Amino acid sequence: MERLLGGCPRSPGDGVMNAEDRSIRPEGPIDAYLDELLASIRDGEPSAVRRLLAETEAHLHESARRLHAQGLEPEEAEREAVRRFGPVATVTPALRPPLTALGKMPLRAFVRPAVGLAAVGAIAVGLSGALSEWFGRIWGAGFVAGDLPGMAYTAARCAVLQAPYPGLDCSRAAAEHHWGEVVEYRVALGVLGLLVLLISRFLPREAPLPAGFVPALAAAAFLLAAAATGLQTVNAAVQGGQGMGAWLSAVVVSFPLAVVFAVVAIRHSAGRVRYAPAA
Amino acid sequence: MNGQLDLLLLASLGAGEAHGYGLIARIHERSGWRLDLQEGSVYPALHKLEASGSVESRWADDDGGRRRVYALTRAGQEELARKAEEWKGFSAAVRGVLGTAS
Repeated sequence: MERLLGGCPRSPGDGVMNAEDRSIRPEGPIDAYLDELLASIRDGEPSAVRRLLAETEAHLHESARRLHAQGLEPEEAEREAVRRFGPVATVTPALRPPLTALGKMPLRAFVRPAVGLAAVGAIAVGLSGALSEWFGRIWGAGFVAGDLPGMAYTAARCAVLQAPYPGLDCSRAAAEHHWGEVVEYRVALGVLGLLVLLISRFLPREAPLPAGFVPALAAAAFLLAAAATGLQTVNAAVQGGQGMGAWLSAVVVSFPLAVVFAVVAIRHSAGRVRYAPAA
Repeated sequence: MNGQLDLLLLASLGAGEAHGYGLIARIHERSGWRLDLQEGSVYPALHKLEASGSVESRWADDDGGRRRVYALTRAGQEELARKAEEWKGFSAAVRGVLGTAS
């Protein structure tokens, strides 16, 4: 036990910072960490917040004491104790209800996360719009928004589509027109998403949802989006590749987001134990 | 090794009540310092075990300060026995596979 935690037997007061140390450095890494923790859990249930802060503070100070006794300078010992404890996000799930309590949560607890998720989804659509613009510039409007074989326009519709693009035939003019729509509408939705995300920051914080629930939901939604748009991409590809880019841009954005949210969900829901083979 | 933290904490508590820091120290010592974990992750796990009834906790004085100490409940002892059997079965299965592969 002692090897891990400093290698020195514990005695009352060993490594405890004396009054002189405190006067020189009143705010150390542990204080900064506790401030950060308090800021992130201030909306929790008061007694649970108090308990978690007390446990964290006692743990960090004991760890720092032992590391100091092992030979580290006081501030270095505190910094190492904080590093071993992990980021604030490691401990905040302690204030989250278990997944089984989800059905008993008030509906208002879901509003802020739902608005946040909708905003992130809209921003992702915006990113796919920006990507579609890039795809179109590289591979042409037809790659992004060309019609699948069999699509036909009336002469009147062709005239409308060709008006801004003199010299292009009807299908190419339609692709240019639809490329513009794909980019503009998606980017506009992305901007709207940014605004909603900003507004969601000001929504009242209600009871926290179970740890990892919101990221898991986001991961599932983005995975579903990636699967659906992936199928559409393949469908367009096997029919000549026209219009493939609009779907591909959605896959390129949604799949990595699904992975990122899944990793976040896993990290929030399970403590990780690392095995280090003996040398 | 996701998902094994609960078992390690229950097993560590099997040696007697302790606070979070003491439990981590037991895990390190008993594993021959081969198992490492982010120390802060122990508290969400302990609170979850307490909510499920496997663990109970109380404030205790420690060198002039207050520490939250945890202990196994009867339900926790049963949960520990169940999880330990599961782990032994899994471990035996993997050893079996490794044995046939070597």
